[in-house]
Amino acid sequence: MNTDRARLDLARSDVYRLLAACFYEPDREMLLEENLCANLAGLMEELSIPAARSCRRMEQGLQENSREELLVEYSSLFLNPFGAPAQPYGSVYLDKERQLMGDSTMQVRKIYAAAGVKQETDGPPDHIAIELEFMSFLGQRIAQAIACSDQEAVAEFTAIQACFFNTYLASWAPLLGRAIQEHAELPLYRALGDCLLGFIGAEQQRLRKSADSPLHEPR
Amino acid sequence: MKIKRRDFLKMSAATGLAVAAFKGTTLNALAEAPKGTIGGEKAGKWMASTCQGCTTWCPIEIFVQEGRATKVRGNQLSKANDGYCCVRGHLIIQQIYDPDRIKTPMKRTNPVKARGVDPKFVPITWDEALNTLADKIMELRTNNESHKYMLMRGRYSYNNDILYGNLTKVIGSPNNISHSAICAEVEKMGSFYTEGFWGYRDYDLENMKYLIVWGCDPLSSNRQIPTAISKFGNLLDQGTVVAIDPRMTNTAAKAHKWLPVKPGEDGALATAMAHVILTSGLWNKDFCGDFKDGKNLFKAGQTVDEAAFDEKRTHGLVKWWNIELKDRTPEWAAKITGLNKKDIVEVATGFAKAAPRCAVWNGPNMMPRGTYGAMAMYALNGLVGATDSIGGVCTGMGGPSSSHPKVDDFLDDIAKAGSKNKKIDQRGTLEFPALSEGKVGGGVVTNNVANAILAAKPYDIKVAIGYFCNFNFSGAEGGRWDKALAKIPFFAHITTMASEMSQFADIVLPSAMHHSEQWAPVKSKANLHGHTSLQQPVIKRMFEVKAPETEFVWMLAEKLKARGFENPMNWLLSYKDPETGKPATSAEEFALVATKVFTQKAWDPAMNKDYKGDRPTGWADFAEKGIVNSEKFTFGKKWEKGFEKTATKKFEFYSETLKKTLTEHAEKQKVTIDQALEAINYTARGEQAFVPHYEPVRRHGEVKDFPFTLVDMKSRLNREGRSGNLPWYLAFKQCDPGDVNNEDVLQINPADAKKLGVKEGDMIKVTSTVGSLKVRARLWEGIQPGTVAKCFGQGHWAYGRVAAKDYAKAIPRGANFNEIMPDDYDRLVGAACRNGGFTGLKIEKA
Ligand code: SF4
Repeated sequence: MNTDRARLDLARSDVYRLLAACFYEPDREMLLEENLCANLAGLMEELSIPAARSCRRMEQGLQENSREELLVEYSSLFLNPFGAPAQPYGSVYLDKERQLMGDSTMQVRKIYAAAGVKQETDGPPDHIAIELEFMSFLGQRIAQAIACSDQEAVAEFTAIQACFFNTYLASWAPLLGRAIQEHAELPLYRALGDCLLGFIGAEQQRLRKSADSPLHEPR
Repeated sequence: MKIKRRDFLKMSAATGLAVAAFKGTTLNALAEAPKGTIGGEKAGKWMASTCQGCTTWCPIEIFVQEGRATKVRGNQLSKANDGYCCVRGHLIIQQIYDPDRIKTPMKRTNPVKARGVDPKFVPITWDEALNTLADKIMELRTNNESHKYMLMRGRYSYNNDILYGNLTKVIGSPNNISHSAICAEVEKMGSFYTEGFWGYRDYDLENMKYLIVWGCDPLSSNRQIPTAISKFGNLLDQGTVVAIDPRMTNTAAKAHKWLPVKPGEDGALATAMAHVILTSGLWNKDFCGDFKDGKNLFKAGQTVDEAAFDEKRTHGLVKWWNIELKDRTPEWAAKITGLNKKDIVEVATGFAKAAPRCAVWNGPNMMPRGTYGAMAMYALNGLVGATDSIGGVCTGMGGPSSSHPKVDDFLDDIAKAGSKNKKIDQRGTLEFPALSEGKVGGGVVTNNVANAILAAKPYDIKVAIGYFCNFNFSGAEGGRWDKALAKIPFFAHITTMASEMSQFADIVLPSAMHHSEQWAPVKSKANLHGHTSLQQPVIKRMFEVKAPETEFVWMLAEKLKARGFENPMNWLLSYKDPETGKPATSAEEFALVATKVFTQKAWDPAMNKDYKGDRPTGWADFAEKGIVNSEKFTFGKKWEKGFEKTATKKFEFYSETLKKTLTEHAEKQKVTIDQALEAINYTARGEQAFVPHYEPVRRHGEVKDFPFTLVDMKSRLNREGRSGNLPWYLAFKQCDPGDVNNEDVLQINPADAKKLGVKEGDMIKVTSTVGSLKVRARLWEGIQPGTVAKCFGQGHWAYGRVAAKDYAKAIPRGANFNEIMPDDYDRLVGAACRNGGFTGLKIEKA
């Protein structure tokens, strides 16, 4: 059993999950109680990803602003019906018409199904929070497979992860990150933009090697 | 979107690697499921629904794959459109999947209500939204101010009785305000005060020999587009098509003849055509009758003895001649309309010679004093006997339906007292007779509601709900609405998009898309058939949207009940599912039950067995097919039985019906009819008030200061005002003759442009008596010198990332010319103006 690799996969899975949590309506008290930003910073350090500083700034931001201030900013960035500057849906970046539920969205849904998950909430499945959660799920599956020495499962989930990341998430998350950087006014969200960019960038490095595999159709 | 479980925030490593790795996963939005395969496309299905992208109200089908809409077509069973939708129908897909849709109820956190000031909406639950609204309504009722509740309705389905009609009554307010008077009410005046028909007509295009399309564009926007498109080719081959419009419409581009009449001078042309038809002896003798001795006494300038004429199915032909037509020579009209005499005579005689297989297809005519022009245009259909004739024009068929349960048993004393107050829109006053359907104060004065609110006359409005409407964008001089909406202490907007009106809302509530996310019945007609069709939730809803007319009402009624006001819920529970006999138990179920109740006659075999149109075998069959077509219209009934809604039961050239209504109005106001007409800016005096006649254009702005006349046009891509945020709308804009892709332009004749030194694509400043706008110039021969044309639909400063150029600074993409059209009315009916040359413009290089 390769404990080190499993540990790292699990840590990465946690990063994806905690990052996903940042794209929900900000429940300030819960995020503070659960030490989300500090945990995220610790994980980044453990993984040697240069995003720990932005996580610490996120923490400060969380302390500095009220729940209402955070909610106003969150709404303005991601939900704003007058035109959200940081659209949280993949198809808005990946499909030609920049609409919801594009062809890319349908592909994402199929990949979830092929990996053994389905969406429980409403809304398009390519929301940033859900795609990050999916990456977290895959990371955890990989860690489990390593722990069980199930090489086939390791290969399968690793392949799905690389495919999904390279074809979908990484094709648009940096654009979202930059949009957040550009339009966020509060430190929490400015730093979240930095953090997303930093982490996705690092993951691009890591997963590039396996990017050659034509994994539109994971086994 | 909220985090459902705190677990989601925990570190797995915290519990130790081995344990973490084996304890399964911590998921929030996802859940484990049996593995699927990627596979190819799943099979889809065409599902029936109804489009309300324009007033055609087409039965359609949407192709749905895995809950996602991918294509649109006409309902293959529809006789109204023969299975085709118009080009706008296809935009449905982009409407559904617009990323800027309102996804959750939201409330404002910035109390300042103004254009350019972000309300800073934040998400709230439906629960919170409805609790707030219910509290506001209860407060009104407690203070005996229930009449200060107002419901504003834009587009609607036949479930509108619930939210618009009856909920307003149950709460206790007279103020259910429809959009109708910014839509097309004047054209109904034309057919009502001649033949007693308050509605939009149908046309027998298949058998027609001569069609005059007048001030509208049936290939594009008014008002049965798919069938007009499909019948048009044959009509061009077998007959003559004439388009009368100041601009080159789609119809004009294809027609045999285009008469570019000066804006608003249609009454002059119509009366002159009647003059020509009479002097040349071409009126329909079977319909109108004839001179007793067979000799035509209609000679220009000469009065005729009424006794010399033996009238048949019409009333007052000779009176009309004597009062109005005898001097309305084509020479006279040529000077006023900018047309030449030869064309006027040619079209009048060609039209009459084809009779009765001919029709005037007239448009909205929404202009000051528009009623009489609309009557004159429509009277031509009577003069040649085209009305109710094969190959002519008719009232058309309806679709079968039952009705919504009565609400009378659920009105408490507060409700009864509140509803007795005057309506907010000032209808039925000296200034606004609003004579819809022969009733004084019978129609809404939509655009005046803003003025009434601002003046608090008759009183102030404290709580308002609007749905499917955007009045500060779609009404003339919309800036007044900004102020009025800002003044309303509590306003909830139920809408699919955050529009200009939502900007002033205290809460916005996400509406279901009418065509794909809700249950509702719709009735309409086209192609000589009526139909009843269904809107169905054919796709999986992505967000927390609700059907405004049903689900929202149910949810609000629950909240009112919790506050001790049980009537609304008791009334909704009086709806019983016709199949089970049981009331609904949830909002979603109520939408379905209400739709079944209203359409029962159409689908219940016990009720439709004698129906001559389609007869579904039950609800399931109806829902699957989505439509019941009526039988085909039968012509000639009115020739046989008379016109039941007119005072004389005849087709009235001298409108006793209007005389009766005007008399009633004048008596109520204690003035003479002449005084009454003077008060509302009409020029007619004496007997002229009762016949179709020429009224000069009432123009805002002297020609010397405002030399250009504005022509408002509609796009073949306008889903009413709701296309602005759709990329396809902009990408294909040039399908409107003269317009340009990805632009919003003012069409100006090249000769005029040259005089102004304006080149193609220059920005120009356009000024009316009420304001200025900047817009790009488009040099285009399809618009006459002296006139300029501008398409409605763009110029949003809200409505989404595509529609608005810079929402934060309230900079629109393009220009909404409603902003600079003066707030004026055809006051006889209460209709706000946009047609007919009432807006004078000054144009300068920007
Ligand atoms: S937009 Fe109008 S004509 Fe076109 S499909 Fe819809 S209802 Fe029919």
